[in-house]
Formats: sequence, structure tokens, C-alpha cells
Amino acid sequence: MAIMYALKSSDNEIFEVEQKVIEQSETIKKMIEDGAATGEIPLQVSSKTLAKVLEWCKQRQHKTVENENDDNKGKRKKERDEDDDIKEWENKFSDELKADKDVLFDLLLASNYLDLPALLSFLCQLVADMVAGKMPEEIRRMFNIENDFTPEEEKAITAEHGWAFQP
Amino acid sequence: MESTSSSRNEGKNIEQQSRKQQKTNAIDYLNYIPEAIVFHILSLLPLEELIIMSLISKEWKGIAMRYLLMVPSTLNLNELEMPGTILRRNPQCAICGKSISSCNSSQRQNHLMYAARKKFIEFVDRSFQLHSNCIIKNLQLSCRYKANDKYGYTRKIDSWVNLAFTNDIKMLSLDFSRGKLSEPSELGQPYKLPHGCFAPKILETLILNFCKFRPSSFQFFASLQRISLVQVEVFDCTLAELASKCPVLEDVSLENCVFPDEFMMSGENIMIKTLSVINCETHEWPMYDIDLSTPCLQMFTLIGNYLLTSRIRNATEIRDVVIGIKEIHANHIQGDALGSLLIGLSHARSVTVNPWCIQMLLNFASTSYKLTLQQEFQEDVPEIFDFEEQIYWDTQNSTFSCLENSLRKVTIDRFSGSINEMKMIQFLLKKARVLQEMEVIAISTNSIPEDTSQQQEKYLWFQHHTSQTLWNYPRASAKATIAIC
Repeated sequence: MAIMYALKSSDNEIFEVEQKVIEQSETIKKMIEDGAATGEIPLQVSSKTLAKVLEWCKQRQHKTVENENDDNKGKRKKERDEDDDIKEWENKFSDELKADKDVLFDLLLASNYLDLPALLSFLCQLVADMVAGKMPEEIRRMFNIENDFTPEEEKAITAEHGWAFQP
Repeated sequence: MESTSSSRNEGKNIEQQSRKQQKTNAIDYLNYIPEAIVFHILSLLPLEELIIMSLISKEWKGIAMRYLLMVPSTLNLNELEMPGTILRRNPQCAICGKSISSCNSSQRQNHLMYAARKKFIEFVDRSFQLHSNCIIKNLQLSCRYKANDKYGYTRKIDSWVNLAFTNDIKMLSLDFSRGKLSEPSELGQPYKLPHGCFAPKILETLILNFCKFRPSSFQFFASLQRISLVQVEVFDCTLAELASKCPVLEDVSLENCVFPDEFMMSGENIMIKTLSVINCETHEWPMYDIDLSTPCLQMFTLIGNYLLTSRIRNATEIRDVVIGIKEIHANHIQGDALGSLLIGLSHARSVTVNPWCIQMLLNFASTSYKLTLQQEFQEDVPEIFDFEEQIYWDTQNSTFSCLENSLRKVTIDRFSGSINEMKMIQFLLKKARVLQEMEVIAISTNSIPEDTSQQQEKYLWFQHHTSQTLWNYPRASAKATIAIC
């Protein structure tokens, strides 16, 4: 019987999770090891974001468990299929995040706070990919960044770096 | 989130309004992310994207600058590679404003070139601007320089080179060769480095390719350890004068360079550790006098046409020497020159020479511990050697103290089994009394076409036969082993 832990989100929702799944978070693992994790573990993460975090952790956990059970026979084909599955899953996961940037950035903060390096680097790469190939105005719109250059400054930049602004 | 496009083409009012909306309604997401994570995201982006990020807002300009300050940057500004990627982003013709694909073909090439050049200039300018206060670990600038330049591009390059020598850069490479190593006539005039009183403080490595270099334009290279000049014309300077501006200089490499007649002559000590002079000329002659005093020299490489006065003095630290002379006629003047050069290098542990030098080398009385003869450059050697060499080995009856007392190891590379080579090996085996090892590396079997099995068989037979002959030669040293591979 797997050991379960109860995580409490910042909006007081309780998530029951297997120890193996949640131990991927170095922060929580340490809390468990220190014996600080008795009863509910309160986290500064919203329920919406925490659900996403757990979705990620479960997928990762699933992957490692399956690999352990494999015998060598047919492993390669299986691995290839699995890689495709994971890619598909990751694509879906990133599409959802791209569509909801509130969650994307909350998740970025949460992965930092919970110390989930794999998720953090996945998200950083996602943001980098979102930025790549875009014009400054597009990036401003995407991330709600205020253009605080004065019109004069902007004119100078446009003149100097017209190439960057052309569609 | 508001969806109105706020492109610069729309009225100012709308734009301001949209700005206001953004301010009040939406969250500036990236503002909430710790800077360490933002830096991590930036580290995943190429420089072109960093430049775009720095144009987003004042804050982002600051972030990009702070990021660059923190990470030691490597800048590869290469006009041969870069415009392609910039053009892909934005395929609009810079001259007629139409999309590149709609220009007609004769215009297209020109416009494309012009557009690429324009974008490259803007990119390099911006890169220098962003890096103006930070240390650059490695800057490589490669330009398509043309001497007859109608568009003022040379002035632009001048300004970049000025910046390169005044910014804090550790390793600097300026390349105007357009990626080619070819006859000077094909490339036209090399780029002329601008005048100035440059004193790069932290520059450790300087690599110049295809330019005119006047060391008098430089005051002092406080940290320069390594200088590598390729296809460079050096003016008004000697090696000693150049070295005197560089107190910590260790490596000097000159390849296909042109320098003043007296460049390689000096009475003062030059404290460099390696010196490599390959296929260089003076402004007037295909070869030059060498008279240097180099107490720290450890490695010396000289590849040239023939030898004039050749002396290396005080080289007590010397370890490895490589000499290759292309001269086809061997006479006693050349022999004396090589002799005088080698006497100065008599502390060397390993001397690698081409066949031309070998005959001379036998007269060289070395006290060195191990002497390696490496018969290299085999493919470049003209047949003309044969007439002298055929009888040369048989007629040598005098005693050679280096052979009798010092020679321990001989390596013969690219051995083909010709009579000359056999005779030389026979001679060496007969004379070398303390020889321990003779290694013969045959020309690789790969050079024989595989489909002609007959030829290959012949080759194998020849190899077997030759090995037998070699093993049967009388040896002066009982300990000597022969390895054929």
C-alpha cells in the first residue's frame, strides 16, 4: 500500500498524492525527511496550478515505473513508442499552458518554489520557444509588457533597427 | 487580454489607449518571475533574440544588459553565416520594399546582398552597443571586405575594429578573408587596420586574417599571450619590436604572411615559447634572414622556400623543432645555412624535417638525447631529388657523431619503398650505433583503389617483400628493433 500525503493548496483545497509522485519535489522531499510533513502539507500554490504540477509529476512517475518493469525484449520498440507518447503528452501540456498564461507563469513560480528542476527547465524552454522569432510588439502583447520607451526613443529605435520591426 | 493589434501603423490614440489598457487590466507576467529564472530563459535564446528582447522596454533593455554583464559572452559576428538567418526572419527587400520573392532575378541577387549587408551592419552595431560595458570572452568578427567599396562599408568596419580594440575582450579574431586561403591576387587587397593608439588591456589572444597590420598603431598589449597572423601584411616592425609591446607574449604564429626584410632579426632577447613561421615572405623576397635570440623558446616551426642566414641563439629550452624547406636544389650554401640553424637548436629533443634536410642533417653533431627523423611531406617532393640521392647514401663514408652517439629513434612516415628510401634506411641502420627503434609507417593502403584487387595484391606482396629486405639489413646497434606498419 503506497504511502499517501495530503497537500493543501493556498485556496485550501486538499490533494491526496502518493509519496513517490510528490517526492520529485525536492522541497517536499526534504519536509518529509525532516518529519515536518505530518497531516496536511500547506503549500503556497493555488489549486489550479497545483493540479497542473501533479499532472506533470504523475506523468513523470508513470514513465519511470514503466521503465523499471520492462524486460529487455522488445524494449527498444516500446521505448520509441513511449517517446512518441511522451512527446504527444508534452505537446498537449504546453498547448494548454500557452493558451492560459496565468497558469503558465504560476506554474513557473511553483516549479521554482517546489524545486522541480525538470519542470522548471521544461517551462523555461517553452517560454524561450514562445519568444523566438517574434517581433518586439508581439512579445509585448504576449506577456503584457508595457512599452515604456518615449515616442522619441521608439522612433530612434525603429529608425536604427527597422529590420527588427518589419513584419 | 486585449486583442487589438497595436502595431505602429495605427493611430497614436489607439496605441496609447492600448498601452493604458495593458497597464490597468493585465499582469506583466515576466515581472513576477525571479531574475535568475529570467536569465535562465535568456540563456536559451541566441543573440539575435536577446537583441529583440532588449527592444521591448526599458526594463528589458536593463535585464538584457545585466544578463550579458553576468555571463561571459562569446560573440560570433560572421557575415558569411549570419545574414541568412536574419533574412529568414524577414524576407522583405530592403531596396524596393517588396517581398524578396517578387523582385526579378537580376535585381534579386543584388537586393538580397544589399539587404543582408544592411542587416548585418545593424546586428553588429547593436551587439557592440549591448556589450559596451561588459567583458567579452571571445569576439569573432568576419566581414566580406572588398577593397573597392562604394557604399562606405570600410568605414563601418573601421568603427567596429576600433570598438574591438577599445572594449574589454579576451580573445579577438578579425577575419577579412571571406573564408578563403588563396592566392593574394584572387582576394584583392587585404583590409587595412585603422590607425590608433590602441592599448587593449585584457586581450589575451589576437587572431588576424587577411589584413594589413601596423604594430605602431598599438601602444601596448598588456595581457597578450598569443598572436596568430594568417595572410597578414606586417609593416614597419620587427618581431622583437612587436614582442616588446607584449610583455607576456608566449606564442607567435605567422602563416602565409608578408613582413619586412629585417622582421626575423634582432639582437635583443625575445622571451616567447613557441614560434611558427609557415610559408611567409618579405615584401621583396620569397625568404628572409633569421637571427633571433630566444632563451625561452620551446617549439620552433619553420616552413619556407629556402634558407638565408639562419641563426637561433640561446635556445637552451628548445624541445621540438620542425623544419621543412621546399628548395629543390641542395647545395653547400643551403647546407651551411641549415647547419647553422640546427646548431642553434642542438638542445632539441625531437627534430622533424623533410627529405631535403635529411642529407644536411647527417652532418649535424647533436648532443641531444633523442633525435626523431621524420620523413614527411613525401607527396610534395619532386622527382628531381633522385639524381643526387641515388648515389648519395653509398658515397657517405665519413663519420657522423650524431648518428654514432645520439640517434635513438627514427620514424619514417609515408614510406613507399622507393630505392632512395631503402638506401637511406640501410645507411641509417649501418651507422646508428645506439639506435633503439626504427619505425616505418607505410603509405596508407587506403590510397590504393579498392576495386582493383590485383593492385592491392601486388601492394601486399611488395610490402611483404620490402619488410623482408629491411629486416635483413645489417645493423650497427644490436638493440635496434624495426617496426613496420
